[in-house]
Amino acid sequence: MSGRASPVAHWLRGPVTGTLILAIPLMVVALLALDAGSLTTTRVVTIFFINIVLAVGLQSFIGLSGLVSLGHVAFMAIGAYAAGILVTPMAVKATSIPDAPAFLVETVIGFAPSLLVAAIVAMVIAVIVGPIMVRLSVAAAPIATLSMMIVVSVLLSNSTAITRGDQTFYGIPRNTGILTAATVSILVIFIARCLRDSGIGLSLRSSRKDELSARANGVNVFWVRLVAWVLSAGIMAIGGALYAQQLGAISPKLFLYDITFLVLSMVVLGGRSIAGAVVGVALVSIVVEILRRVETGISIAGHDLNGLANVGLGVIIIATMLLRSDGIMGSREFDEMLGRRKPRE
Amino acid sequence: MARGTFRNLMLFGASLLYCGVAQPALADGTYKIGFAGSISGFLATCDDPVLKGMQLAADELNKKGGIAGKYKVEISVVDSKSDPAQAQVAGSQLIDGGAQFMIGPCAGDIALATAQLAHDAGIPLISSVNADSFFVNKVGDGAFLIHPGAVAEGKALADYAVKARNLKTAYVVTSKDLVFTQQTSDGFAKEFEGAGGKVLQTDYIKLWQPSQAAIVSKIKAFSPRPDVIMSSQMIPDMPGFIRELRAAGLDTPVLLNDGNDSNLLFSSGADLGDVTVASVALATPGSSFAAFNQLYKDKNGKAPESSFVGAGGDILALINRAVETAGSTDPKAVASALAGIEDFQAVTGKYTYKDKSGVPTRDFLMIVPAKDNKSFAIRNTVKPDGSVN
Repeated sequence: MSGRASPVAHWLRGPVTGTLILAIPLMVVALLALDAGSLTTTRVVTIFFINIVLAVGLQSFIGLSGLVSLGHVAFMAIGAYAAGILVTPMAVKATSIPDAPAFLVETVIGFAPSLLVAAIVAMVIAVIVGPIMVRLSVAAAPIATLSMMIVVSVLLSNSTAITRGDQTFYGIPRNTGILTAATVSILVIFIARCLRDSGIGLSLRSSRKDELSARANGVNVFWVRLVAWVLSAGIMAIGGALYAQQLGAISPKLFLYDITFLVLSMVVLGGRSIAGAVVGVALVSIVVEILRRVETGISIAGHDLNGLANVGLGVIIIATMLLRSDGIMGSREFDEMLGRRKPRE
Repeated sequence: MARGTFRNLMLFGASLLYCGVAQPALADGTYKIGFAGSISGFLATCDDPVLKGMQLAADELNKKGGIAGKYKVEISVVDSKSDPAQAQVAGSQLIDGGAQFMIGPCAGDIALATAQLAHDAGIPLISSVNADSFFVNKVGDGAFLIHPGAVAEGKALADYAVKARNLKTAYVVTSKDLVFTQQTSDGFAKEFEGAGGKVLQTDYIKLWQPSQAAIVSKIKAFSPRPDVIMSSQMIPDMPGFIRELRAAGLDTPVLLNDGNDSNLLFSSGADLGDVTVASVALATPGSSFAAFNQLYKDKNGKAPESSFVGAGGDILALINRAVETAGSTDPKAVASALAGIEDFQAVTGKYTYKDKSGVPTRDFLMIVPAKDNKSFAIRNTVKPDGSVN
């Protein structure tokens, strides 16, 4: 009676198994952190889960397409502001952004809808700018996407009536907790795995290996890259929405080089797979947290060690590039490693 | 490979457990102050000297028995790295560690990130040298500034312009980049026009530009010539701005916001001309601030790099006063006592918090370049009621 599984069920096996393998330890971490109960653990672990969302979002584009984007944080910023403005109570907005359009001041939505709206807004913008970005060569993409990030930052800085410009947008309810961030990160991992294991994902990976061959075999490189670009923009925006509702106050300067370097380093360290992004986030989080605790109050030859965490991060990246240029996980997912099957490329 | 990755995950778990380890309970007779300011990143220029001043003041207090003469001061420092996410972690770590009073970063979203945590935990917080007049409103009870606020500073500059200098028309150059640059010019414009003056033009510029030649050319071409230029910018921009103004032949009086009361203002080497800076702290000979600076020099072998060192001394003096008045270290009682402080002489000057919900009222000193063009001298003092001496 046990016939073959349906094609959809067969296809879903990879994403579901891969997500479960990551979800179980992630939920254990979340529950342990909740049980520990300290404010510090809560903050560190919540930021860890938000970083997973961001790293998986970035990985969904650069890991599959091979194009390096230095500007994805722009979508994070768009998501943070879209969600931040919409969840903030009307009484706060009436004083903080009194000149904003009435519907923005008067509209207040909940946490889950804010993530959805943030993703939609970013994806619409990604659809508009995507046709330019995904046509670029591997060499041109980093600088073009970086320019996009700067343009978005300047627009946010100058949209004073809506964003408060360079000044802090405050009063955002701090809705993001450990369990919500963990749940969203697992959901995002599943979505990213579905993209990776789909025909579009396979086409993207083949175009990454050899674009000309992929085109010769009928792959519409422009189209598959655009799909990944838009989806990754949506995921980054969800990360931004979580981030805004974790901090409670945001400004455009938060979404520039520091966070770009942090997320990119996590992705580069982990490798080109979704599991690699998660492993990269975990390793960087551990190292940064340990160094952050070590650096305070210690000095060598009269020089304080402030900033040691950033130095450590830089050293890790250099070492990884020297020793494992494909990152720790390469292109592999955990389920592929456990099942001893090679990644479909 | 799988084993290596598994080992990494285990390490992460171990790190999390490390994060969750409970801090040892405080010994009796200790008052623990948590410093979550930024000693790295762009806010270090204000927070780092504040910390140095706090540490000096704490050492001096401890020689006399500690806070209120009986609680040894212990300052725990966690760098917020000029980053709001790290500021939350730093604040959390200090609160978990038993901080009874918190010192937050000096500006913007980074200060708010820590202040909200302290507010939620019911622990009083001073946002080091923050000048955002509405910061306390954004956080709620238990948050304090030691600066009277940028709006009050702008008003003081306007009172000085009208009452002491009889200046009637103004050209305002300001920036929306920082809360306090805009608040200062807003406060100035409102008070200046309320007192019968007229703001002819307001221009917004970007801070941290290599040259302000464009705005200087615009001012030069502007007609009619204003009586005064009010400029709300920061060092390192300001010395170049003044130099370019004077090089363009404009000898118009210039009013500058707080933060420019630094010897770095003279760094361009040019004659500043008729320049007045609003300040809350000038170490005049014989003052308590000068004595504190000398103490710092004796201990460190060099003079303080910034007046913010004195602000660190103010913070410890205010906490000491609040604990003495409260008669206990209970956070609520200390916050309440601090909110009621009146006419209290700290290191750099007098403080009154009463009825001001966490924002002190203080005199503003209108300081001008001394004859040596290397230091400042007090020209006038503007009282909180707007009177000018």
